[in-house]
This record gives sequence, structure tokens and C-alpha cells, in this order.
Amino acid sequence: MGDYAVVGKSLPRVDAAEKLTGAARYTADVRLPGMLRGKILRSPLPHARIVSIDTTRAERLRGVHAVIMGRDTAGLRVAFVDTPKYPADEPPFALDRVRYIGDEVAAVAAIDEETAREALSLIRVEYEPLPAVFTAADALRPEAPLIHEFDYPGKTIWEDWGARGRPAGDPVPRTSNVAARTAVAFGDVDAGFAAASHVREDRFETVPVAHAPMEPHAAVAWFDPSGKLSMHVSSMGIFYKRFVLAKALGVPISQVRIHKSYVGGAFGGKIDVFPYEVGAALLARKSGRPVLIELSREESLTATRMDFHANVRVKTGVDRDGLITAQDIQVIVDTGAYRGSGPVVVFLCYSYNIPVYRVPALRYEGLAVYTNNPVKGPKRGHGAPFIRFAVDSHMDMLAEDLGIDMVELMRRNARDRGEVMPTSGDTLRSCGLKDALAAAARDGQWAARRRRTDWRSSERYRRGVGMSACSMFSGSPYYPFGSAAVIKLHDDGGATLFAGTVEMGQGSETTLSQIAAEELGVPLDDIRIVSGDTELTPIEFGSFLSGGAFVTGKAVRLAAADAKRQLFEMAARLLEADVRDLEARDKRISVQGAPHRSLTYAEIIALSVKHASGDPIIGKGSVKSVPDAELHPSLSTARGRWTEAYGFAAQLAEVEVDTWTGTVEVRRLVTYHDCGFPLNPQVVEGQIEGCVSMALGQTLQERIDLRQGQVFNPDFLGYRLPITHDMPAMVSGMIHSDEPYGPFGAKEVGEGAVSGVMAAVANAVYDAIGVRITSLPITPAKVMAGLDRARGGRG
Amino acid sequence: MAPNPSRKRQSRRGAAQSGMSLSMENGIHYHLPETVSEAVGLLARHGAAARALAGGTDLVPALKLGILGARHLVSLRRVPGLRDIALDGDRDVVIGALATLRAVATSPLVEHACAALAEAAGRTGSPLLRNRGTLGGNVCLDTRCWYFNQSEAWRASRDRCQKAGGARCHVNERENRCVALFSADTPAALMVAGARVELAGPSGMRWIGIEALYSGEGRAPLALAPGEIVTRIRIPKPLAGWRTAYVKHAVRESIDFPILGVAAGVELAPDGTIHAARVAVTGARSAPVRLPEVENAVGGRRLADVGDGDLARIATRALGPLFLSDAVPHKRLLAGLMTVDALARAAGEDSGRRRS
Amino acid sequence: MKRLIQLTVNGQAHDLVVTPVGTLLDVLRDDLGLTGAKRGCDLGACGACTVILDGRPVNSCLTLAVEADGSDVATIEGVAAPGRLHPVQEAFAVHGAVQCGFCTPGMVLVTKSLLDECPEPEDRQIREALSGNLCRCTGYVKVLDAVRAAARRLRAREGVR
Ligand SMILES: Cc1cc2nc3c(=O)[nH]c(=O)nc-3n(C[C@H](O)[C@H](O)[C@H](O)COP(=O)(O)OP(=O)(O)OC[C@H]3O[C@@H](n4cnc5c(N)ncnc54)[C@H](O)[C@@H]3O)c2cc1C
Ligand code: SF4
Repeated sequence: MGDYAVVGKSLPRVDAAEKLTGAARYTADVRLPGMLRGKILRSPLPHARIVSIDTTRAERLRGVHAVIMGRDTAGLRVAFVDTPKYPADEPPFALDRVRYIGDEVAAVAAIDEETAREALSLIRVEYEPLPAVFTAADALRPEAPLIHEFDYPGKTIWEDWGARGRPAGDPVPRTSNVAARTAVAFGDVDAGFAAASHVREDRFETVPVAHAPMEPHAAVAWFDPSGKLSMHVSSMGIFYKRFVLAKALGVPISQVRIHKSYVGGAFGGKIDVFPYEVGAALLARKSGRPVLIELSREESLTATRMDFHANVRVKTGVDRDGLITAQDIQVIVDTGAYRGSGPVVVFLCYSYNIPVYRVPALRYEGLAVYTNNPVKGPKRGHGAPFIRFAVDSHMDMLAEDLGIDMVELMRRNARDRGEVMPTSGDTLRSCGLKDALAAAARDGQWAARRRRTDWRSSERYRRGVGMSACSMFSGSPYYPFGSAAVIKLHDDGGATLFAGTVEMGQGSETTLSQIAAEELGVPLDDIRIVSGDTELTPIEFGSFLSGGAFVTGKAVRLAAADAKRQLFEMAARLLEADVRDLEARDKRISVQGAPHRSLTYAEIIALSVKHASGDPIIGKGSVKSVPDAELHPSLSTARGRWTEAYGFAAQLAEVEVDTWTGTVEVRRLVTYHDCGFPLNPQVVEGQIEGCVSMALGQTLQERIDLRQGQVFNPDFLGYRLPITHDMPAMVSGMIHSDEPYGPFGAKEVGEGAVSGVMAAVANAVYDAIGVRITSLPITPAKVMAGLDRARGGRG
Repeated sequence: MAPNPSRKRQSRRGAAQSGMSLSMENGIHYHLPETVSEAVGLLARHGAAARALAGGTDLVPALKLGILGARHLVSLRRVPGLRDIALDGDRDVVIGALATLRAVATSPLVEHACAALAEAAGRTGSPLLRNRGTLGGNVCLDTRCWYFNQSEAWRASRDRCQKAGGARCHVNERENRCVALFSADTPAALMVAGARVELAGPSGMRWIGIEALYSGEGRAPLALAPGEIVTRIRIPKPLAGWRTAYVKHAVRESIDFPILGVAAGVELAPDGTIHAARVAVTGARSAPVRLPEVENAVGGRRLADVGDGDLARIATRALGPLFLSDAVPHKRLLAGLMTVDALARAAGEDSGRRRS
Repeated sequence: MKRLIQLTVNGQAHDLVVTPVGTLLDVLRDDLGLTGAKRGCDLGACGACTVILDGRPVNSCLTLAVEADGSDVATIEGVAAPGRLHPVQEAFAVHGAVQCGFCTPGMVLVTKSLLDECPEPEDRQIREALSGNLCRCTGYVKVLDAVRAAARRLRAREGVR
């Protein structure tokens, strides 16, 4: 590992002062002259045919400037997945049907919130209710009502990028509610099970949870007199949003500009292009005025995206030493009223699981099923939390069956560096999994604290420890497939970095600036970053698929190196020396061994401008997310390259269970994360701590309380995010595995440390009280019921 | 699968998801009386259409959700003297209805008179809410229900329930009677303290025991006469040996309403014998309730002699059947164990907490 | 029925016309353009809208503007001296307590008011003081670090005086 001046240091974030003084502008803080407020009318019914919509009274209300509905978007469908096999299925505003409570029906723009609200109340909608289904199992029954009667193939967004299209034609009738299926098989599964000395099968369940970023979703849209659309949006990648918005609105990409806003957290929930964004643009077009749509917390929690309801079945065969001989996994998710990211998550449940343990033979099936519930989308970990919860709870049970210590069993099956993943062909060029396991076991005092409690004791408070591991990838082939960056040097040797990243809390502005500073050989203070604007910055991959630092970071490093190369070349000319004889230090380039022959960066730039071509020196760099992949891998077969690098984490939980109330308190949570190289250790720690906190919420207390398609806790009193008191003692360590493909050896940091928490806690609860909880969240009610069962029933 | 809904066409008016409901907003009137009698006069004049406004931490959410059911807000902010916490002579502690929960939680007078009350006030909502929320507002808190405390748009998915003026109850379908839960933290502690409440109404002042303040009705939990407000709350001087504790079970240690709150008070002899006890529970029914069976069971004995299991069973039985949500099907069992916990803490013992 | 109210915000007096149901948060964000206080949940359960009202941190989304008539309000915009962060802000920056920044104004105001009142808080007090302010990014670890550091720093500064 190199000895660096700027990267690898916990430098304060470049956006801190703005955020600490209230100056940082988020989308809902934008104020424009003449700006209208937009509001959305949503379906109160889970499934219904729209007989008629009457907006005349709303339109006549004083102060109302525009009303739109399905008619205004006819033929338009948008979706997270839009491929020939899975064509987009979500009309931004309902055409003839609503499919979930919260489905968009119409939108209004008015001079203020009150008027917009009044206008909504004046819209009459006549519905004919249709039978509805609320679980994947019900939706799969042959007699279940079809939630989508047709697929609408046509041009998909991928065709411009070389995907095979399907000719646009008549709608294709659908025959079931299966929205997507992934099937993978390799090795001889039957032989593997036959050869096993022990086989067990278990079932697990997780319920939807919310991203719940502190900033509710918002959008501002306006058209300039020439007809160009400008927007501020809550996003995770502005180029992806621009691409889809342009397609949706039928305008050229260069006619759409996304302006910078800070984003108040996202966690996967702000990737999609949402109906309210399309709505803001359409209302702006119709009214000729800027329009702000700020979703309420209720809308953000119920009608944007949430995590999946999943049922997982895992069957594993092991030999006498505990080595896995074969595995059979089925995952069924309820993807909601539209496909959302269903096709991706059933692929990912395979892809995130496979890098952890060596499995010689596997049968995997993932099904995403339509229901009349709200739509599901990617959330931090995207499938990894529930597949890892299932598999590592199951491993803990296997360990007990076999009488092998869980950590030992994990270690025996864990993968090593150099292994090639089945189906994708990805190689683990770096892999710190075993190191992470050992470190977590050591810091959590695994050996000393495991199996210490007597399950039959009458002690009120009992403790236990549990372990789990997980993996995450670092960027994949998905629009826009890569990132570019530009660095412009200033007269004094300082520089401005132009990178399309969206700062949503992950610290990308800081880490990218650090990379630029390191490569240029200037202090961090000398770098100014322009980000988050599609007009001012080159294309950028986006901060999802955990690709931010990995992909864009590389582009920034290349851009800085390019600028530096130009500096050196100019210096060589001016100093009449060979480039190879030059060295740089403290913003000064000198001839090796002749320090008096030197020029400062500022002098070189000045001379370049004044005496050479006038070039102030501009560097650029670009990189592809996965260089040898053409397009994303097949979602249905998992074939095709997927990522360049995997991150790993091992997590240990120590819990105390109050057997009187059923409350589980996590006392300590140890995470060792193999993130390659931490570009800014403080930022990486912050990501890990945030992951752990979010994961603990999902493990113990968070759940979207859905009943008959309706969310019963659409606010922060009922949807319970962890608070200060909930935080355990956290130990967050990093394993430096030095990824050869990452910038300075770095790989992903934003999602990895989420997915080991669930099983670690469930296993620790079992260790403490002998009760196995197989569904999340681990509520007091489940603990009490389990204790009751263990005691053979109690009054 | 949901039963096949009737194919009957339904016409719906749009409603906004959270945010002030329109019908409320346009017609809302704000009043700022300067005296008790002026306030009471305004409340009496507008009857059911008027509501007293204290800290607003419950009233403003209700206004935003469109469930307040009133058009006149009568602010008590300017009414003098209602914020004080003072000793009446050298005896009782008298707390003004507008004293903030923070003031109650941190008052040495309250701590001395009834530790359970200080604890309960200190565990109500969050610190931010306690800086605005008042004791009077907490005592007069409306009942809560998953079907009722929702936005207008949310509630548009089904018929209006009874509490909202409709015909049906979505929770207690069998009896079709509102069973919304009373979940304020401090009233259980006030019951244990034997608190009395001063009411001011159009026909003057009266003092009642705190228990008499509650009707037990989910729809309208307060037994106040039209125009009446709570002005003061009196905590009698504690007897020697009288000790109290409040145990709150909630998902999180802050913000959340109690799933259950149990307050206990014991009059303890030096040898640990309990001369007399009081126990009250909040979060179980449409009013806070006393558990006299438990009080009798421990009276004249030492806690250790009763036994945790027996005591828990007595408490569970005393509470009687409850409407149980899926989230807390074990609420009765929980109430039993929490009662044991609260009594033990009041008596200065700990319940199984072992330090390691 | 609109009313005229007077607010002193960050030391400056303002006369404002408000509706009886407008909240202090609405007035700050829409009438005064002070968007540092955020609308996170609008129902008092997240703390993103925290402002200091007559010396105490409150949820401005639950405070009717008419009820704040005559009050003194401090918002995040008034915490730093021009060009110089307040020691609490400084500590948040140095200790990595800021991520997405949406909860940050509320966290800073609560911390400041805690330390004004109690210069040497115990850990339990810090956690309690911030327990009405949700943060989804940090898991609170670095926020608590920052508060401890700010307390030390402020005490040191007092000591110097
Ligand atoms: C996020 C959140 C969490 C909460 N958590 C809790 C909790 O854990 N425990 C809890 O108990 N409460 C909780 N609350 C509710 C509320 O904050 C408290 O109960 C508070 O004490 C209410 O007092 P207030 O002064 O704000 O009442 P207001 O909102 O002003 O009034 C509440 C009700 O009481 C009536 N009222 C007020 N004062 C009087 C009076 N003097 N005479 C007659 N009627 C009066 C009002 O008309 C209104 O109906 C929570 C609220 C929120 C928003
Ligand atoms: S319990 Fe009361 S508030 Fe709840 S649904 Fe029934 S009538 Fe409505």
C-alpha cells in the first residue's frame, strides 16, 4: 500500500460547512419566482377500474394553473427494469386501472399548497373495484385475478445501447402474476445431496422495510423560453434520471438539465424515475411556470418504493467436515403492483450469496410476483439482507446439528482470493472474508462468550453472541456504463474537479476531491468540486450498484493524472529537461538532482497560457464500470459479467434478551469490512455505522405494516427508525485487501455492512435463549411466543 | 385473497395525503383569551366545535390529519398562573395545567411528591416534545387508534369509523364499539399519587379525583362538562414510607407512546412490609385503569412473599380481556410482568437485573 | 382569518401575516426563506425541523405560528459567526458527524442548547437530549463523538476566559 498524502486520511468533508450552517440546498429548498406547488391525487383502492375522472371543477378553482392525468401521458410507461423480456409496466398516471393504494391518478399545480389541496378535493373519480391480492402466495394461485393483463413490448431504453429489441406490436396477453423469474443451476445437485452426510431445509421470511431517508422525495421542474426542461430532483445518479426522464417525456437528452441539489439520504430509494417527477415536468410544461412537488412523509413511505416481502427456502447438504456439497434455494418476493426492481432482486439474491461460500452444486430459483401492494425497489443491499439472513441462520442451525462451531463452519466454507464465480465468471481478485471473520471473532470475544447461558435458567436477562457474513459488489454494467471526469487547473495551481456525482451523504464529493488532490499532488483545500449537474459535468455512473467510489473514483484519478501529465510536459519544455527526469513536490516540479531548476504549478500554468498555446491545462479521464462486459448480465439466467470487485464483511452481534418483555437489546456489534482501501477512513466508518444502524432497525423494529394493501404506519411514529438510545457499542474495523482494479485499491463501502447483521442477531438470540426466530423483525411478540413454546406453554 | 368486492361503482373525492385538511383549514378560528373565565366562555359558546390549545403537540397533528373535529382553537397561552409548580403551604404540590412536561420531569417538588410522575413526564414523547407539551394536555390526551390517527387520504380507503362520526368500528367489529386506546404516560402515575384535578367551567371551579376525569369511552375519553378545562393538578403530600415508580414499555426509549405503562406506589414499612399499594396501567384500555386486586394482594405482605409468578397472574387477571393487536398479542402477560417490575422498583428492589 | 404576529428570528424582528394553522416551520421556510429547518415528517417525530424557541429546542412543525407571536426564535442560520463556525459545528465537521446533512441543523441546535445548559453532560444525557432527532445516515456514533468533543472544546474555551 502506498504512502499517501491525502487519500487514506480522515479529512473533514468538503460539504460540512454548508450543511452545518443551513446553507446546503436540497430540492425542497429551491425557491423560484412564480413557482407553483404540485400535489398528487392517489388511489384509495388497492385494485379498481377507473370509470371516469372529472377534473373540471378543479380546473376552474382560482389559483389552479394546471391539472394532468393519465390522458396526458398516454402510452407512456416507465420502470426500473425496461428490457425486451420485462418491458416497462408502470404508467406514471393511471390509464384505466389503479393497482395499489397510492397509485397516481392525477396531479394539480396551484399557487400554494392549500389551493392545490383544495383542487384535489374537487376531482371526482369513479372507480369500479376489482378483486385484489396481497400476498405472493395468493397471487400465484391459478384463480387469482391478473394484476397486469398485458405486457406492452416496444422500444426499451436499452435499445440505443445495443440490446436486442422486440418489435413494437400488439400488447401480449399475460397468463400469471409472475413478474420475473431467475433460474440458475450448476454442478450435479442431486449427486451432491446424495453424497451429503447431513441435509437440512429451513424457511425464512422478511417483511418490507422502508429506506426512510430523512429528506422526503421532491422535484422542481421548469421550462426555459426555448423549451428546455430544467429540474432539481432527489436522485442517486443524475445521468440515469436524465436519460429516463428524457425518454419518458419524449425529448432529446440534451434538452433536459438536472441541476444540483444536495440529497438528504437515499439508500436505493431515489434511483427510480417516479411519477411525481414526470408529473412535475408535465405540470410545468402545461402551466408555463416552475412547479415544486414535495412528497409528504406518508407519500414517501407508501407510494415511492420499499423493500421486498420475501420468503426464502434453503436446503443444504454438507459432508462430515461441514463442507457444503449441494444447495437448493428458492426465493419468492412480492414485488407489488408494478415490477419495480423485482427482476433484479431475484437475480441478486443469487449473485450476492454466491461469493460467500463455496458451493459445488446449486439449484436456485427466484420469483418476483405481482400483488396489489405498494411497489418494491432496491434498498441498501438489494436482496442481500434477506438472502444472507436466511442462509446464515440456516448455517448456524447446521453448525449446531453437526456440532461444529459456527465460525469454524463458516471459515471452512468461505471463499478465497482467486476464485472464479460460477455463471458470471467474475474473479475474486481480492477477498478478505476469512480475515474479516477472524477479526470479528477476536474483537467480539467469540470463543469466550458463545454458549454461556443456560436456556432453562430463570434469569430475566440473558446474553448470547452470533455471527454472519456477507458480500457486495462494486459497480456493474448498467446505464450509463461508466463515468468520466474533468479537472481544470487554475492560475495558482489549484483545481476544479467536474464530476457528475450526487452528494447524498455518502461523502462522494469528499473522497473524489481527495483522489484528485492526491493524484495532482495538491492539498485537499486546493480542490473545488462541481458536481450533480448534467450540464456542467461529464457523464457519471451514479451512486448505486455501489459503484460511486469505485467507478467514478477511477475516472477522477485518470483525469488528475492526465492534468498532471500535461503539467509535466509543459514543465519539461520550459525547463528544457526530459519528462522522465522531473519530480513534483509541494506544487512544484523540479529536475531530479537539480532542485534549483524548478517551477511552481502556478508558474507552469501561467507560462502555458502566456507563452504556449493558451492552454490552462484541463485533464480528463473516463472508465467503464466493467470493461469486458457489453451489457448487463442476463437477469433470468445470471449469465454474463457482473462486477470487477467484491467487498466482504463479517459481523458479530452480542445481545441481551429481557425474557419478561421479549425485548432484544444489541449490546455490541462488531463489523470487519473488507473495503479494499479506505479512501477516507472516517467516511468509511460512517458508512459502516450507518449500515449497521439501518440493519439493526430492520432486524429488531422496522416493518412496513401492510394490511390489505394499506400501510398502517405511514409516519415516523409508527415506522420506527432507530434513535440514539438504540445504538450498541460498535466496533467497525477495516480489512485492507487492496483491490488491484480499484482507485488506490478501494472497493465499495456503502452497502456491504448491512447484510450480516440480521443473521448475527438472530443467531445471538438463539445463543441466549434457545429460541430460533426465522422471520424479521425479531419482535418482542415473537420472542415471547418462542419462550412460551420452549417452556411448553404458559398461562 | 380479499373477498371479491362488490362491483358497485364508487365515486371518490380526492383527499390530500397528510397536510391540513381543507375543510378544517379554511374555517379555523384562533382565540387568545386572557383569563380562565374568558377561555371557558369561548369554549362553552362554541361547544363541540371548540378545543383548548395547550402545547399543541397532539392537537396540531390532529389538525393536520383532519381528525380534530373542531373549528375553534382556544389558546390557553395567555391565561396567567397556569404554568406554576408550587407547594400549597407545606403540603400538597400544585401543578398548573400549562406546566411543560419538561418542567414537571425536572421539578424537585414533583420528584419528592411522586417520583413516578417525574419519571412518566420525563419519558413522554421526546425531549423536543416535552419542551412544548404540557401536563394538562397529557392528562386530556385523546385516545388513539391505527384506523383513526391517519391522514384524510388514508382514511378515504374505507368508511369513516365511529370515532370519526361514522357507524362502524374497524377494530371491535363484533360489538361495534370504539375501543381506541388511551396512551398518555402521566395519568397512571397521577392515579398512583392520588392526584386531584381542578376543573374550571362556565359554572365555576370544582375538584375531582383524577379517575373521575375519564369516561372509559374510546370515542370521547374525557368526562368533562361542556366548556370545562383542567386548570390545576394537586398531588397530596406523600405519607412517610410512600414510594412510587413508573415502568414504560415502548418500542423505543424516546418518541414512542407506551405500549403499556405501569405506575406503582407502595407504603413501605422498614421491614419491607407493604402497608398499602396503588397500581395503575395506561395503554391497555380507553382510560387509564387501577388494578385494585393487585393492590389488595400485596397489602400487608412483603413482595418477596407474594411471588413474581402469582403476582403477575393476579395482575393479568385484574386487567381482564383486552383488544389485542397483532403487534402485541402478549399484552396481558406483559402487563402482569410489568406490574411486578413496577412494584419491585417502587419498593426499591430490582427485577432480575444482574450486572456483569 | 389571518393575524399579524411579531417574531424575533436570529436577533432580527419581523412582522408577519399568518393563517391560524400556519406553523412556525412554514413561516420560516416560506415567508422568511430560512430553509435550514427541514420538513422531515411534519408530525413531530423526527426533529429535522428543530428550532430554538424562547431558549428551548422544539419541533417547529408542531408549533403554530400564532402561538409563537412575540417569541424569540433561533435557527441554524444564526449559529455561526460570519465566516467562522460555532465550536459545536466545528466538532461536527471534524468528527464526521455530517453525512446527508438533512438532520444536521436540528442536531446542532439541540447540542448547542444542551451544552449551554449543561457543559459537562454524561453520555446518557447526550443520548437523551438527541433522542427526538432521527438520523438515518450515521448510526449516531459520530454524532455522539462530536457532542462530547464540542463539550470539551467549549469547556476549554470557558477555562481560557
Ligand atoms: C411524535 C409524538 C410522540 C408522542 N409521544 C407521546 C408519549 O410517549 N406519551 C404521551 O403521553 N404522549 C405522547 N405524545 C402526545 C403529546 O405530545 C403529549 O401527550 C403532550 O403531553 C400533549 O400536551 P400538549 O400540551 O401538547 O397538548 P395539546 O396538543 O395542546 O392538547 C392535547 C389535547 O388536550 C386538550 N387539552 C389541552 N390542555 C387542556 C386543558 N388544560 N384542559 C382541557 N383540555 C386540554 C386539547 O384540547 C387536546 O384535545 C406524542 C406526540 C407526538 C407528536
Ligand atoms: S376503535 Fe374507535 S377509532 Fe378505532 S376504528 Fe374503532 S371506532 Fe375508530
